[in-house]
Amino acid sequence: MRVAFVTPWYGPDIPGGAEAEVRRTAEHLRRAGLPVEVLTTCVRDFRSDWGRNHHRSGVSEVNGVPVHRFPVGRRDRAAFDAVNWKLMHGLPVTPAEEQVYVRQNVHSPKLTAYIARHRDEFVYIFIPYMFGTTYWGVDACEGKAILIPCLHDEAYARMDLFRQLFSRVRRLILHSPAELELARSLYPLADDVPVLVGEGVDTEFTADGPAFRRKYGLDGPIILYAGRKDKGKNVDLLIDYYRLYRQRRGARAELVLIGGGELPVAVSAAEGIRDLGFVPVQDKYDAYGAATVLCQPSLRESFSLVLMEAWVAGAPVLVHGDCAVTREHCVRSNGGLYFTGYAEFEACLDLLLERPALRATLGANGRRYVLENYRWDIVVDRYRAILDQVAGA
Amino acid sequence: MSDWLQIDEEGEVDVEEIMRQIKAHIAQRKVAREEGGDWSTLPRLEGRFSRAVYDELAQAMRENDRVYAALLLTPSRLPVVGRMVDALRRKAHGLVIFYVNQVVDRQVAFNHYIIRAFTALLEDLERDDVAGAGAPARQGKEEPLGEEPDRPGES
Repeated sequence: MRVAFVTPWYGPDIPGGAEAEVRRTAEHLRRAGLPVEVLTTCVRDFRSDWGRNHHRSGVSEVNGVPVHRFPVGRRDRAAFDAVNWKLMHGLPVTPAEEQVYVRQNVHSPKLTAYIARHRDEFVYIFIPYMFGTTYWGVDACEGKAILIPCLHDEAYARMDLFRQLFSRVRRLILHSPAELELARSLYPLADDVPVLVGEGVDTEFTADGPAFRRKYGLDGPIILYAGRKDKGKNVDLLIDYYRLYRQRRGARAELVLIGGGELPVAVSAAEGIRDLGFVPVQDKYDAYGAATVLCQPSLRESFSLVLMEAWVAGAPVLVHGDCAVTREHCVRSNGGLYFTGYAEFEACLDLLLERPALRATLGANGRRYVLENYRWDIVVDRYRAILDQVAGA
Repeated sequence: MSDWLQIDEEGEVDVEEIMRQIKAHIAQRKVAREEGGDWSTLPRLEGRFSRAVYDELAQAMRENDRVYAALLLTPSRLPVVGRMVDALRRKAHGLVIFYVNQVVDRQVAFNHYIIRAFTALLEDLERDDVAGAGAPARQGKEEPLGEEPDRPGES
């Protein structure tokens, strides 16, 4: 029985959490000997035109994984955008508008037809839930569908069409207990449908902190942020809080930002904020090694690979307490602190900057948590078990 | 500056316990600032009361931040099973400390209000003393009591 990941776009350097997850998981499962392939569209990525075929259709190979690309159909972008706007702003949509959403979403009739034709040859793993490739694909292979939803508490998850979708999959692969709790609160699920898997984390890298400091001319304690620098990641809050902290406590540490995207506010080195932009992968690992603390202020994380990587490097973390996923990781691992509001941010940062023994203990706890739960061999074994169950039934 | 946190940093750290102490510490500072009895200052008018009264009150305030039970364990010297014994002892002690600190929370709150009551009493007596003597209110030198964590640049 072959395994096919179905995703709206696929490529070696497409940004995004779900996109990176499907790429890494497919590659690791393939390396572990599973017959994994990817079915996707010719669309380039999330930010491109979903009605435009960027890639050539057909079969190619990306990092050892066979990738089947199918052309997208015509879509009414204006109609989709009108409904999507309502969903993004939490407004109710009618059943007719839900139909517009799924029909004018990114999807490929040829991809859907391929799934239906080869229904009995594959176990299909769809990721994430809110795109047309998933909605129409699950419909075409009911009984053979596994879904990695990347679920958040959002308007899309409450659409009737997606409620029905969740009831039609054989297994739900979830990243965290918080996501599992959300799924159970939204949908009636049989006991054996949801499975807590998490994500695989690379644990074999070296994190050369001194090398990072030399290369970027950094000295003294570092509060590190790693990831996209936009409002969706709450980076503006981190900058505000850091500025206030520096005003109240003095120049006790620099805030160093690495990652792509445009900052929502202007910053400067004079105020202790260094925006290094997108850095090479090894520099990212070295940054974890140099960090006094990694701060993840995002409110919408499915798993937070950055947290895990920082822990592998032994860095303690500071997360936003209103993000159930990252807060849960900190509590389960005893590897980090969390804040809701500035007063807690200040108190946590004071502790982390003043107590090296506490930092070392938190970092060591986090590292142990990752090695015990999210090493690739552990995650691959979880996938094997799920695939055996679905294929064998 | 963060010595109000009472934990064994090199042992089994409990993040929820740390967060609980952080919240309690913030709540104490907030009450002190918001309800008019700012802990950080107390008029030190000279005359009516001895310096000892003010010094003891300041010390009580400082100690109130440090009453939480901390883990204190000496490593076992038993060969072979020593580490396992240490781990078991640490767990047992941690459980006791969890419950003890819940009681301590309530004691800290009580202490807090008692100290505030004494402070208010002192202020009233000072004020009455000055008014009764018919003298214009003296501008006493206000000195901070205990820590002032809000000073920029202090580590």
